[in-house]
Amino acid sequence: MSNVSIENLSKNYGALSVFDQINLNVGDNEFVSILGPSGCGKTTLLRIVAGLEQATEGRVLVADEETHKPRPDMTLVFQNFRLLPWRTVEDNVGYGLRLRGRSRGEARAEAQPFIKMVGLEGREQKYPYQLSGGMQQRVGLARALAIQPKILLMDEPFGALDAQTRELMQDELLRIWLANRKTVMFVTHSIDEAIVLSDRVIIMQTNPGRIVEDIRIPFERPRNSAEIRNDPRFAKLRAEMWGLLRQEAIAPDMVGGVSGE
Amino acid sequence: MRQTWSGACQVNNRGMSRRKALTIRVFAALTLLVGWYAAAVSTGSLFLATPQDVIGRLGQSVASGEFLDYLGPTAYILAIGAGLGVAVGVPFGLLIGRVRWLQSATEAPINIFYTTPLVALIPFMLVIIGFNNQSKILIVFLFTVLPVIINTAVGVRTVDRDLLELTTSFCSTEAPVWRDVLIPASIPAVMTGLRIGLIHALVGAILADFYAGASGFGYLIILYSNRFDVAGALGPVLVLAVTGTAIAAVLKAAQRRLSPWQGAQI
Repeated sequence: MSNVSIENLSKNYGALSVFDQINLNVGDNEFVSILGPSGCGKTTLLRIVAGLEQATEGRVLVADEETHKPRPDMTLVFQNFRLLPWRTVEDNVGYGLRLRGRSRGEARAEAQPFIKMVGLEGREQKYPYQLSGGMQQRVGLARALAIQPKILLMDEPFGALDAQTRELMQDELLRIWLANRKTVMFVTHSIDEAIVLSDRVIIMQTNPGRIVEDIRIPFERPRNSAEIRNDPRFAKLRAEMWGLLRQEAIAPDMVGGVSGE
Repeated sequence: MRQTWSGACQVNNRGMSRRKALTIRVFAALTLLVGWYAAAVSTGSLFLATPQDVIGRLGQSVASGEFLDYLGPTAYILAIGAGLGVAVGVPFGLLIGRVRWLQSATEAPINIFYTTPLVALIPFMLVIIGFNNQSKILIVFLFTVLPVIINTAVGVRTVDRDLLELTTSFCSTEAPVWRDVLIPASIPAVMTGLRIGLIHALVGAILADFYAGASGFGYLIILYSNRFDVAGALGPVLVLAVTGTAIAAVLKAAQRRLSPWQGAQI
């Protein structure tokens, strides 16, 4: 079991409500994106599921167990990579393995297939500062995958990358996920990204943060991102989502993220 | 993008400035030497000796054995005092950098000690503990330990919060947090602490000799000065200056060796 259930979840900081009464189910091995403008609380929602923050009300069930702290079978990929600057690529990828009791040598050996999976063969000995942003996030992804989590949480993982790198990474993720299915919650503010990757897209709005729509993405897998983008259904989905997000555009800065695609 | 902070600008800077920096260093050293010579010639040998006089006199002093007789005790005190200062200061600094209540408990006393000129306490310590090696070791210890503690604690306290959160999200326990994040992240600050601490140790040792008298490298300076042997007195001073510079250079090199990920940074 690797489903995630969010039940009546609310979060506020004092009088400020981040989101209110969120209910969401993510099924076994389902890929769900949470799409919304800045300030809708999508990242906070993910951080609560990850156990890095506590909800004010409601609860999160992971594999049917109520969860308040990080779990060893669940891992989070951060937008700002968070690699250890003093560790080489292979030791960064093996980071979680060492925490699970492997020796340095075992962790390196076990990390190797994941380094290969994200296309970083030959760069095992590099330090993060010697890598481009895209490569750094590949390391971040490999580090998360290496512990073979059942649930993968991703917090705008490609948000810091340029547009071309971002599309390449989306294709990589599609390929990796297909070969190695797991439950994914993927937070993004990019409509295209959400459609290309997901089985379902959850749309959130702000003030207070809430879910307004839950859209099933019909494209069969394996997917090719370029083909999807040319599919007439893609344009329709995109228009529908944009319509939902645009309602927020009354305060134009709130949708700032969307223009970043 | 935090990890890319040692990026292209820095690398370019370094590539360009290596040779230039060396030239500037050599030039600065030469200027100092020429300035010293000019000052010595213009003020007369009663007040300031020329570089060649100082070095010549230093040679005599070493040859006669006098130099080493006075250097020995001070080197011993310095080794023990500074060694203890580092051995106590680094772990203590790491701890108070991490443990909140320990920081609150020690912040005021450490600041009081650090902002008080320790020189002012030397006469008291000598009177209370005695005019012996123990009090000199204590003095050197105090001069060393404070900057080491303070810099180390700052190093731990300013560790990237995002990396600490990463350790939490991977369910890390406390010991691996030290191994993976806290210790490597605080190495640069620890090295800065060592650099300042060891230079202070040198100062402390000489001051202790000045006050306690009768033995030690500092006393040798006083001895020669009292004989109006300016060149003689400046010899040990020159040795101290060179030693201090060497310590700083060695630690800088060690830092580069210990933190290769900083690449072009240092």
